[in-house]
Amino acid sequence: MTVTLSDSERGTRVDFEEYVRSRRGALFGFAVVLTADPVLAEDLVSDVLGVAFERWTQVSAADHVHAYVKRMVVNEFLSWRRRRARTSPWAVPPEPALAEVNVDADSDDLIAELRALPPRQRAALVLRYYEGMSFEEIAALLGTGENAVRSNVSRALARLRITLAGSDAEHADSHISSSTPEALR
Amino acid sequence: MRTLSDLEAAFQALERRASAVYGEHDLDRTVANRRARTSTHRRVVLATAAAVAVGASAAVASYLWTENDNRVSPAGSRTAVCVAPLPPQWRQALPAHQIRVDGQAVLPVQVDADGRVTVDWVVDGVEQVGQVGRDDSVSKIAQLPIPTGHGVMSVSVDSRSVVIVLFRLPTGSSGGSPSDTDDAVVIDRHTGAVTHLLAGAPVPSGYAFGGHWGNLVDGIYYWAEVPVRGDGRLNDLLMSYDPTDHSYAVKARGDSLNSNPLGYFWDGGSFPLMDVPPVHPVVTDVAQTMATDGKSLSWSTYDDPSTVFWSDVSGASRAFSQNLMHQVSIDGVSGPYVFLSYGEGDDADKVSGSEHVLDTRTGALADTGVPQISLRGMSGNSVIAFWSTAKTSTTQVVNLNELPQIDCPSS
Repeated sequence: MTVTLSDSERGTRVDFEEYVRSRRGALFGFAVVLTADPVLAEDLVSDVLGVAFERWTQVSAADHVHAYVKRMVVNEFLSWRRRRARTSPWAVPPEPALAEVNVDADSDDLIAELRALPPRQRAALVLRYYEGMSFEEIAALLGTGENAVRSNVSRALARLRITLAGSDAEHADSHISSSTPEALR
Repeated sequence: MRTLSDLEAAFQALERRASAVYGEHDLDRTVANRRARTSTHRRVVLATAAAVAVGASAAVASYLWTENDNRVSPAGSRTAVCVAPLPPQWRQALPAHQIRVDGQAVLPVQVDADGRVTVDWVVDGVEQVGQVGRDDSVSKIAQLPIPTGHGVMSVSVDSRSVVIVLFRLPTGSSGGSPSDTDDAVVIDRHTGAVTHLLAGAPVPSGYAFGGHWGNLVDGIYYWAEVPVRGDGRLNDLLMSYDPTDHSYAVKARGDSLNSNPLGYFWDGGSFPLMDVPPVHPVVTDVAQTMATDGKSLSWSTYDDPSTVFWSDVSGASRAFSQNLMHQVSIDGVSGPYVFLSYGEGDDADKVSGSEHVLDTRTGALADTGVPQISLRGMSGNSVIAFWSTAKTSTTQVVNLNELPQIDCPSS
């Protein structure tokens, strides 16, 4: 499909390209933490930016554009595998580079377990403890209720065998007991 | 027990992997509300190996079983997986039948039992929907001038209707409400009558059209309406439109609406689009990826992402696993064949470079040699359409019934 852009469309395209230049790396980093997988992250960001370009008028009108796009990343992650088949032909990602870094064994084990978490639990965990968002903010971003977010975070922590006691007390959430995730059901 | 410091270390390790690709500078531009943390980023020399084919050394497979959720791990037979070469007939058939219409590549929508492929393409700004026979004859089904500044997001077809979802290309910074930015056009295949789906939809303000969630099933079009900008006070809506009497309905309200080929699901509920045995719940928590051709199902689970499950609608199920595969993605199923891609070996970051096919009758897993592909409209009698996602897009049709089953190599 060949698309001819008007002057105003070109202007919007410039805005979009500037956004991509300044934020694509940040989006990719966020997506890597979210997916625990650089290749999936590259696909995810490519797909989201493709949709963001298609809807840039809507996206750029948001109060916080980057937060809006990150929400798109999260939502796309939560449904990405289902959508991938339709969207990927129009947004073929560049050949992703696979990073080989020195990671200690404990982190590797935990990363493997992070990968195995259900996506909604992983998303809630990343938004809470990587992005530092409140449960209310996460609930708003995911379009779900606070209790559902608390439940997902609690279950994820329990599954990863992470306790909130000791040196992490300052981060602890008074609403969560890592030993009683079932109580939240 | 671990602590949150261990979790942060894992996040930082992932950041280092990301920074090895993009560089720390870009990554450091993350949002301001991110919690401050110790910066231990290191630039690391990276190796670039984008896609790694299955090596011959993997020819001898060993098997890995883990404890599964019994909701998705039916007590069916468990077939051992072997890595097998792709039979010569398959290698010849895969590139044999490529479809082009009006001299250009087309996007397959679906394929029927006789191998006729419904496709769409664009000529001079007019969206074309047609059917291509096995003799390459083309019959037009519908066409729709694409409004200025719009593009086509998706096409759905059944015997009565064609539904074309449009999106508006960027036109300026002033924007409009999200509900103004999309349209879905329903075309009656018999009369040519056009209905703008969203114009009459009883959707409250504050919602945006979720065009990605569209499904045309048994004559009814389903789609999602999602709250604008994450308004947590509003539920997602599952809507339906019946072209026979132009009626709309709100089928469900719920949080975290999503779908797979079997139906829609949300926190605490589901709406099935297919009749499936109880062993296959239509819930997101138990299916990581899922595909169906209408008669066969294949899926993998969050708990056990290295195992492929297959079932027919009678409920007979099998499970397949071996230690070559990690993070299996089920890309399609057609009769006994499951098409899949996966991370490789001990490093799940290494994604297998090409699409694989698993013959569930024998447990043989073969590399198709085709780049990872999008599969479309596989019918229950094993006809399949491919569209390559490589730079040169190609639609291919293969009648799997004409191909031999894939066997494990004799030991």
